[in-house]
This record gives sequence, C-alpha cells and structure tokens, in this order.
Amino acid sequence: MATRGLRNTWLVLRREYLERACSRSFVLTTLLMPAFLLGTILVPAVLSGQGGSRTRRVAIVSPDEALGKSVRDRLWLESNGTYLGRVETDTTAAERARLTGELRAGKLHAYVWLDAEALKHGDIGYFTNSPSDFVGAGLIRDAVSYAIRRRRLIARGVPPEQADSMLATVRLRTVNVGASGGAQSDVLGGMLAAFGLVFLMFITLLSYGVMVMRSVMEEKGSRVVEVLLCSLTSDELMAGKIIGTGAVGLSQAAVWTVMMVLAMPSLAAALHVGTVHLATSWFVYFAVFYVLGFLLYAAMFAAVGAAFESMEDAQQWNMVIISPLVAATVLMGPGVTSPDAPVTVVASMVPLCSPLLMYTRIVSGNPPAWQIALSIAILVVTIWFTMRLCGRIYRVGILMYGKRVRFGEIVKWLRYT
Amino acid sequence: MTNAHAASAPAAVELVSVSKSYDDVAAVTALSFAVTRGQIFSLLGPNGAGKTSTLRMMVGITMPDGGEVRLFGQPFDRRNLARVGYLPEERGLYRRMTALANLVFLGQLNGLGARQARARATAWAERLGVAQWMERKVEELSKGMQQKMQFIAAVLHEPDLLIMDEPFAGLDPVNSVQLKDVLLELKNSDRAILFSTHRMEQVEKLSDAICLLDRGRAVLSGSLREIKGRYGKRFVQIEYEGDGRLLAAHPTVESATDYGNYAELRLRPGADAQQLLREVAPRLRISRFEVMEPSLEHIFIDAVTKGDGNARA
Repeated sequence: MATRGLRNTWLVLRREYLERACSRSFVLTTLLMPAFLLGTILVPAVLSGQGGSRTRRVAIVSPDEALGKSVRDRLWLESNGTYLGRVETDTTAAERARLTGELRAGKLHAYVWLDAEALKHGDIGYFTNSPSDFVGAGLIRDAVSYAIRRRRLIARGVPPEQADSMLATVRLRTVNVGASGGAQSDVLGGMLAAFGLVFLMFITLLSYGVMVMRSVMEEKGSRVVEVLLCSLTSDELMAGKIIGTGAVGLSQAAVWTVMMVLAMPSLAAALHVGTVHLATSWFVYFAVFYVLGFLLYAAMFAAVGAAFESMEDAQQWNMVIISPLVAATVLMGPGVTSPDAPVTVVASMVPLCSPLLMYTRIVSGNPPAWQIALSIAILVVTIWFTMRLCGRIYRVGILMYGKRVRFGEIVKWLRYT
Repeated sequence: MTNAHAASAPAAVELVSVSKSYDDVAAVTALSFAVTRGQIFSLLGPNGAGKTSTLRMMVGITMPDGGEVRLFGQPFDRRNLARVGYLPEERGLYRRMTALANLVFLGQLNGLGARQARARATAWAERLGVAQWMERKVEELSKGMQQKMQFIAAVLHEPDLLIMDEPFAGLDPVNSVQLKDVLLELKNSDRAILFSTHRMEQVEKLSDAICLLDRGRAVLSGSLREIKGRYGKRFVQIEYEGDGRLLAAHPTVESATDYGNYAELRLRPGADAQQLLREVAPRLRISRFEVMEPSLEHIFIDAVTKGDGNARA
C-alpha cells in the first residue's frame, strides 16, 4: 500500500511538474522576469545619472573665489568627474536671473548660491531642475560643507595642508565575519543582493502558492478529481500536487539565481557598487526556507482551492492567506538594515512570516544558529498541523459542488473523519 | 453459465445496509444489493434519488456512514479499486492535456506502465473510432468524443467491475448502440457492469438486474425478469370503436388511460383478462386486444407512487 501510494504521488507530481515546466508561459516568465527586473533596477540608475557618465554642469556662485574653487574641486573629485563646476563671483540679482534662465534652458544642471548672507547663516541655496535627485544633492552638500569647514579652519590659522589632512575622509571596507567567512563585500551591493534574494523568495512563494490553488480548482471544476479519487487517496493527490508545483517554483528560482550570480559583476559595475560576495549558504538556506514556506502556504492555498469553485469566491480567503506574507514584506526593510532588532528577531520566529524574515536575517546579518534552528523547528511543527487541517478541508471540499461555502461549514468539515 | 458462476463466486460488489447522509439529509438509507460477474446491473431512480452517492461509495470517493461496501467478496480495501473502472457522470479529464496524455496518466494511476497504457488506449480509440483525435487537447473535442475518451479511461486497466454514472447521457443513437455493444461484450467476458440511469428503455434492453432507488431507499430490486413476473400480465392494450367509458367502469379494471379509440388498462390483482374481453366484446368493436407485461416505466411509476403512499400513511 505504501509503495502504491508513493507511486501515485510520484505520478501526480510528475504530471504537475511537466505540465507546468514545459508550458510556454513558464519558459516566457522564466526568461522575461529577470529582464524586467534588471530593467527596473538599471533604468532608474542610468536615468539618475549614477550609472551614466554624462557630465553635469554646475555653477558655484560665491564672492569668495577661493571658496568657490574649493567647492568645484571637491565636487569634481567626489563625483568621479561627473560634476563639472564653474565658479562665478557676481552675486547680483541680474546674475541670478541669468543663471535661472540657463537652468530652464537646460544648459545648466544646477547652481549653488554662496553669497555672504548664505554663508553667515549656513543656509545655502541649491537651485536645480531635478529636486528629487537626492544623490546629486548629497554630493553638493558634502562638497560645500567640506569647503566651508576648510575655510573656517584656515581662518583660525590652521595651515592649508593640515586643514586638508584634518578633513580627509576615510573609506569604509565592509567585512562580513559570519556566514561568508570574512569575505569582503560592498555594503550597498550586499544589501541589493539580500533584497534580490528575499524578493525572489516572496514572488516564488506567492505565485506558486496561488498556482496550487488554481490547479486544485481546475481539477475540481473539470471533475477530474472524481476519476482520480477512484485510483488514489486525497492525501496522495494533494501531496503530489503540492510537491510538483513547488518543484516547478524551485526550478524557476534556481534558474533565476544562476542568472543573478552571472549578472552580478556587471550589475555591480553598472550601479557603481563594489564587489558583492554571495555566500553559498545563502542558496542552501533559500532552498530550505522556500521548501518549508511553500509547504505551509501551498497547503492553505490547496484547501481554499478545494473549498471554492471560482477565483471570485476564493478571493477574500486568498487575502487572508497572503496577509502574513505582506506583513513580512513590511518588516523586510528594517530586517535588512537591522537584522538583530528585537521586532525582527521575534517576527522571524512566527511561522507564517519566518520563511521570509528569517531568510532576510540570514542574508543581511548573522543570526545565531539556535535562532535559525528554532525558527525551522517552529515552522516544521506548524506545517505538520496545517497539512492535517488543510488535508481535511481539501478532502471534503473537492467533492462539494454547486453552493457557496460558508466559514461555518468548513469548520464542520474538520470534524468529518 | 452466468447463473452457475454467480452461485460459486463472490459478488463483484455488494452493498450491505449502506447509509450515507450529508448535513442531516439522508442521501442513501439502508441500501443492500449485489452485482455478480457476467451481469449488467442498473441503478434506477429519479434525479436526487441517491444514485451518484451510492456509486461514489463503491469507488471509495466517499465512505458510508453505516453499513458496508464489499468488493470481490472482501471488506472495502482501496487495493481492490485497481480492479474497478469508474465513469463519472460529468466528464473528468484535464482540458489542456491531449486525450492520449490524459489516458496514459489515468492508466498509470491504475497500475499500468506508460507503454502499456499507450498501446491499450490506442487500440480502444481505434475500436471506438476516435483514433485521429488522440493528440488533440481535450478542450478541442466534442462532448460525445470526450465521453468516449472518458469511457476508455474507465476500461483501460481491464477492470473486473465497471461502474458508470449515466453512461448514455449525451450520446447520439449511433454511439448509444456502439456503447451497448461494448458493454455486452464486456459482460460476456465475465465482467460485472453497473450503471445508473433514469432512461428506462436502455435498462429494459440491456439489464439483467435492477435496483430502483427513491429518496435514498431501494423500492424495488432483483432480476428484471423476476420483477416483471411479480407484476404479472396485468396490462391490456385495446383498440376499439364505441363508448370507451364502459372499459374504465368494468369490475376487472383497476385503472384506465383512455385515448378515445385506444386505451391502456390495468387490471385488478387476480382479474381475468378473458372475462373482460368476453364481456366488452358484444358492446364495442375491437380491432386489437393485447395482454402484456408491464413496462419498466409502469413499474417505476407504480413503485414510486406506492412509496409515496406509504410515506404519507
């Protein structure tokens, strides 16, 4: 009986896998999704000028020419030669009107107003057509601050060389001492990779979970389930369906991960971030948390698919299932920047959120091994209970036709033996 | 030969006082019958009588609340389902897969190897004249075509017991005859065949035994010949000219349906048709007078309305 059951599950699994993995839509999404994502990352980067080599002309207006030159040089240096400054000493209203005209005509990217009044209050005007370019604004602010500090130091009698050495900034070299074994990694690049992987987990869990539901609905709607249940048990059918669909998702994630690893160096270069080290353990944990998360969510999606006959009817239950995932995405940001904050630690133990959040902590920090183990253990126990519960709903639901199911009835199904 | 076999071998399927209810509504109540090999058995009844519920319990889709379903003389065991073929009322195939892929998959679930399933499916498709449709997706097939594919799925693993829910529904006359021929052939190769229907003419031509369900209870069951014999030759068809009212008023007649120059009469139990003929012949011009067995439809209506009376009493 056991071997027959396994064979049945295997047959269902294989059909489910081949049917989906060989479909045109699967091939298309597998190829197009990375292209789309790459586009959404690269296009803004290029547009914001961070990734482009387009020169930006900036006028620095200050009666103190030495200060203006100091700002210009600093800006040139810090922007890797992207910001080309021009120093002007005329601070009349007429000059200001002329510069505004140039700005509007697109001949100028921005101008900085450093007259005596502005310097006295430390309130510098930065005029630009791209007010939301925070990276550019940051560069200007740093360059102006640097030049003003340098001027103050010199005014108090510090020799210029000493002033330069006092103001010299340091470079931060990030070393991850945990899982990646002391490998060096760029902060921004590491964060992007972490976000990429967690986002991949989220997308795959969600889309393939919903696919299980659709597949169950299809079998119920086409009455195939009646024929199937004559040859196998509902548990064998549900197991084969969940594992088969989950395997398709895992395959797709694997293809995408390989693409991501291959594209990483050129992506990092395009985004002007340093080397990104991707630890092998990240991929192992990806598989572990994807599989566990999928089992949990797919069981619930299968139950919903069995209980309802149309997507419209199932919609509200869909939302209920998805809400922990969505809640987890809200905590993902803080999870990446402060992986050991108490809220994140607690949330990474909550079974419906842990596949995403514990994984977020793993790729962006080094959570203690016992916390990872505890999170997995809680998840496994939850999966066991959820499977039993949802298996019952599934068994009754797939044979219920013709009426809209209410919550009370589903609770009643749980008591059927 | 069939009878000798029935006596020695256990029934292919036997229901022993089976009951099933959904949400306090009884679908099937204390139902018992048996189907032996080499027999075609019909489960009859109006819509909602519990036919589909009964069939579902036989193939393990649902479990009875009370009583027992025995397959091949043994207590219910899913392992024995490998010897059962099932044709559900509504077509159940994957719409986006080809017919052949569907059949191979279902054949494999019933224990066949892929190659074996493919070969058998192809042979059946040729036999039923659907071979050129095997590589088409199911959603592209006509209803009748899908029905044939579904039938192939049910018989692919050569089951000893074939259970079919409304197999003739949606078939045109040509295909009905084809299905009837196949069923007779299966019967002659010692398979047990059970199907549900509400169409009497098929049952009358094809069945060896029937069970008539009404609101989940068996109101009549046994071999068709025996049941008809039990009702006796109490029906008379008469073609006449004259005043037909005296037919309905005659003491031997229990009820009459009079069409003016043609009437169907039902005689009282024990009444003699010859007495009726003798006494009405001088007063009517009779061109035909035939004493006959009741049609299954008569029996059906009779049994169901009697059941009604009992329920109200």
